[in-house]
Amino acid sequence: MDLTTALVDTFEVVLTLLVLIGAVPLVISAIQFLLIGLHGWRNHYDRVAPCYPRVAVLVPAWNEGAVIGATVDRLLTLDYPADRLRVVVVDDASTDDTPDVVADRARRNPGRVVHLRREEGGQGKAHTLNHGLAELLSDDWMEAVLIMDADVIYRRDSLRKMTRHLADPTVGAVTAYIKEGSQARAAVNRFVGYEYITAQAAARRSQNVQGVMACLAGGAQLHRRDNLEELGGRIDTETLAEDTVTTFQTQRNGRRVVFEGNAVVLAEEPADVAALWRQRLRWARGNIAVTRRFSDVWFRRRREPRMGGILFGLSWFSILLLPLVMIAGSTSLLVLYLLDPSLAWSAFHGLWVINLVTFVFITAFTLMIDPSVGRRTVVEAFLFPGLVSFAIIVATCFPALASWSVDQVSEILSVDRTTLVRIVTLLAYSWLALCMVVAWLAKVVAVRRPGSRLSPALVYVAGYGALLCAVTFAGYVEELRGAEMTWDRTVKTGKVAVS
Amino acid sequence: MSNQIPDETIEDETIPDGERIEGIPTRTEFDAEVAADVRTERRLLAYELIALALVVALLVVRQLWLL
Repeated sequence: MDLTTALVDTFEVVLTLLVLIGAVPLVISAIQFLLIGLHGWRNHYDRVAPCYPRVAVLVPAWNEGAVIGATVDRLLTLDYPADRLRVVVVDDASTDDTPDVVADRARRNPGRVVHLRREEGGQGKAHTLNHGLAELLSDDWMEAVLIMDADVIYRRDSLRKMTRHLADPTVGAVTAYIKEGSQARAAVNRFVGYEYITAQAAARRSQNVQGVMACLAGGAQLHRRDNLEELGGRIDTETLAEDTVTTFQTQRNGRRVVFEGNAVVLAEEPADVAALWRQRLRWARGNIAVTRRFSDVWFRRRREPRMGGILFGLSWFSILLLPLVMIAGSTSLLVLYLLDPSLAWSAFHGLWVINLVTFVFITAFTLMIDPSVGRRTVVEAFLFPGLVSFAIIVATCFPALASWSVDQVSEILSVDRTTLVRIVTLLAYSWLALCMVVAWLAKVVAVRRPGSRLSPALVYVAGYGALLCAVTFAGYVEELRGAEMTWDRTVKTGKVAVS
Repeated sequence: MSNQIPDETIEDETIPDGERIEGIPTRTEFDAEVAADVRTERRLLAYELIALALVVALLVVRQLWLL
């Protein structure tokens, strides 16, 4: 074997590995899902007890006139001792009727509803929260604070299901299961509804089993007073992911963060691709900043027993680096195709067999975890990876069916079969990267032609997962070019329906 | 999660039966509610096994198709 052959062989092995690395994020995800089955035994329920601390519900509000009244009314009907519950709305210099609505509620419920107003606002949620926290920490009434968003609706038993975990003094904070609550028919709402089963109900149970939490949901985070004081009495204002920073710092201080999956909170999420893109870009940039800020945490179990775990680190980075993994996979497949088409095919087939197994397991399990949401998002569950990827999964499962389809198309279009196979193969090899471009086009269309049906159609083709990857990639670009951190508020319309 | 903290540190604020507060469970109701939530969590293992069984069934069908 001469040197050139050896180099080419080594190069081919490297390319094959790069393709197969594309399966790692799904495998990590599948391992996380496997842990959920242990949650019935490895949980925090053996440490709960009746516990009703004096809770201040902190609601940041900026032009939330459409939702704030109903939110406050609903909070006052929670199953919780009335003398131990206080709703504090921090009005962030709203210019709509928010101040009037909140002042009216405060007048009708003296001592139970408090209206705080910032005369100069618009700096973002963390600044608004800090205004309220400073007020709450200035006296000793508050024993715990529930941080939420103005649009979220708590089921009546949700707060007391969360506070029962505070009976354990090692718990610093508790979060709940946020569900997409508008139940709208918009494609994006349905995708988000399904996504939240995987990202909240499933992933956070798995994190409970691992003993580490990635993020307290922004609309449902209950902190004991001690924990807030240990955090310096304020929420981080330097990143766009203040919830994640709070979560990490809480655990770094040696406190536990617990997810209570039976405390349900309904939230209104973006209904169109443009609004979703803005929200997720903020999250993606925040997560990149958190990754850098806590760089001494990852894979250092001795130093950080909770956050330094291997599985936690792998799951964090598999999401953060997924766009790069997908681009590397596609590029490697195309180069392999030029060097050794049969090896390229084997690598591609191996990757998609793994994808098939993990996709079927995760999708079937997710739909059963929350059947009420699952029933109305079945289509979005199967098309989460997109129509093209779903077709590749079916073709991987039933190659004869794929071959028959190619024959039919070849006949209908009167195209030479070999040429058609070559085109389909190259398209399939490119798709891991190409799907993100199509997803990005969905956002471009949504911004330029609001209301266009093309945007959601492109999401169905490319996949909601591809859309999230494209946003993450955009997050890299924004961070690399040092783009200004801006707080793009998600507009809420009060569509949340209590079910 | 492990039980590193002795039970006596748990802050139990059980509402006495004679002081019933609207919407707040008594100790018996509280325990029943926790038990129900634990059962909900344990049911997830069954769902997980069903999902795994679906994967196995799909792979078997695929192998039979390939034969």
